[in-house]
Amino acid sequence: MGESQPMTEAMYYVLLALMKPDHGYGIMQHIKQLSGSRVVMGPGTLYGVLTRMKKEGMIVLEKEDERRKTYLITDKGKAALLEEFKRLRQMVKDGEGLEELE
Amino acid sequence: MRRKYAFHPAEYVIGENEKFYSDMASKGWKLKKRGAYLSRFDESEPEKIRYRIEVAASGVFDDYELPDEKISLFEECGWEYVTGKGYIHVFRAPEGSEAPEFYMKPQQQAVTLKKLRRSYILAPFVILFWLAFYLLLCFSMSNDTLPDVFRSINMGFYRDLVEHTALTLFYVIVLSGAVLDLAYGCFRTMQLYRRLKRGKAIDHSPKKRRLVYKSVRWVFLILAAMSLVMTAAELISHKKYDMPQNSDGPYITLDTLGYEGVRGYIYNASRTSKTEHMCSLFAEYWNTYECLILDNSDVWLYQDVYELKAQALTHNFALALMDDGTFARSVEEYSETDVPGFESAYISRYEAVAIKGDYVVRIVYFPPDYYESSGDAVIEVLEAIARRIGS
Repeated sequence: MGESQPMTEAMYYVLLALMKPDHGYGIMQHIKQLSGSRVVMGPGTLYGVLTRMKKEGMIVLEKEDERRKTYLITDKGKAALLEEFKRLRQMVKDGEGLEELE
Repeated sequence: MRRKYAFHPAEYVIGENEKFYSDMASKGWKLKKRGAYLSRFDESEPEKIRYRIEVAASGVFDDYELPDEKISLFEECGWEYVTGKGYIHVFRAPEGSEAPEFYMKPQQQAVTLKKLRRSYILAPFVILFWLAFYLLLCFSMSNDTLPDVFRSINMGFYRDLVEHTALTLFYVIVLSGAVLDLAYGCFRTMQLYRRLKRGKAIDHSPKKRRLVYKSVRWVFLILAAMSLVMTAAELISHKKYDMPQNSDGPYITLDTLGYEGVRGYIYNASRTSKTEHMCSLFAEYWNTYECLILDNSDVWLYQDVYELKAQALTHNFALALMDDGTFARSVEEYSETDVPGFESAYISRYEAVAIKGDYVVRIVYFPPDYYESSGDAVIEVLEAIARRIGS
């Protein structure tokens, strides 16, 4: 897949959350829950990420009512997410043995 | 409900705006609306409130509104949208509430500042563009060459500085203040952008340490106010009345030249004669006009007599007067002539400019036989004025 630069933490979690269709606030709640409150995304950050990923074709607008937009991950987004997941898994694997230091 | 208006910090100091609104809230003034320079507050119970500013990242032709989707997203997170003006949009949440900060990382906020930063960087070019446009307009509407246009702008400025010193100073102060403010805005916006980019978050409650900025601003405000007061004094000193039968200043009446007749209207003049007397910081001056109806002709005379406060100004001021001649199209059309009583005199047919000590005199004179008259008639008038000034 084309995205050469590594994915930011914010993008990774947003794509992860959008495996199921969701709207802005729902995405934030989902990410908070998913990460056990480790990642608390600000609304400014989320809005920026959504705008950018929509432009890059990673997500699509699934439904739109008055002020709320529901997004869903695209195939391109899924591929990028999977690639990032593999990269992260490899990184963790490469670092095996570090547990001893803990 | 009581209301209050207060000047808010400029748009390029984000953190200071946030602190300003929080401070006002803890004093019992809740933000209602943000204008260009003033913010409106309604009286309320003193409260600890967190204010945060989101900068609109609008395109060139968009308005500065935040998208509805963005506002509703912020509101779902516990932020209340209060007001917005230009690039600045203000949200608030009670202190200690769970509303998360807008951005996880400063770099993400830096992106929103791009447009604000660009508008500051482009501003000097926009000003230069309009200036060039203005010059082009001056240039195309006259047959002057570009140096001529520059010279007459320069001369006009010099003349305004002598005749309306305080008002000219006021313009200069306000203009240079605006330019300085723009330069400072440029600097601060770029600095903020750079810091965010490097990962340094916005300080939401900065300590007051902008002493230099504040003192410079106060100096400008005081200077502007002072020049405005002096402008009022200049305006009050301005007196305009029918010319008395006997001159009450360093100018002459036509009867001094031996004309006998009654003052009357010619062409579309609104009065038969007038004397205007004004004082500026650099000069005291008289502008007069008189027209006499003779048996079968008429004679008229304009006199502008300036007593300058500094002799060093006289030469350049005389040039400025010549440049703005009634009939002569340029300084070159005047020829230097010896006139008794004046150190130097420049004549161009019906009009003349002359210097005597601190005095600069400009006249336009139409004698009864002006078709045949050479420069001599003007010399006669100048001589009479020199005697009047000397007495």
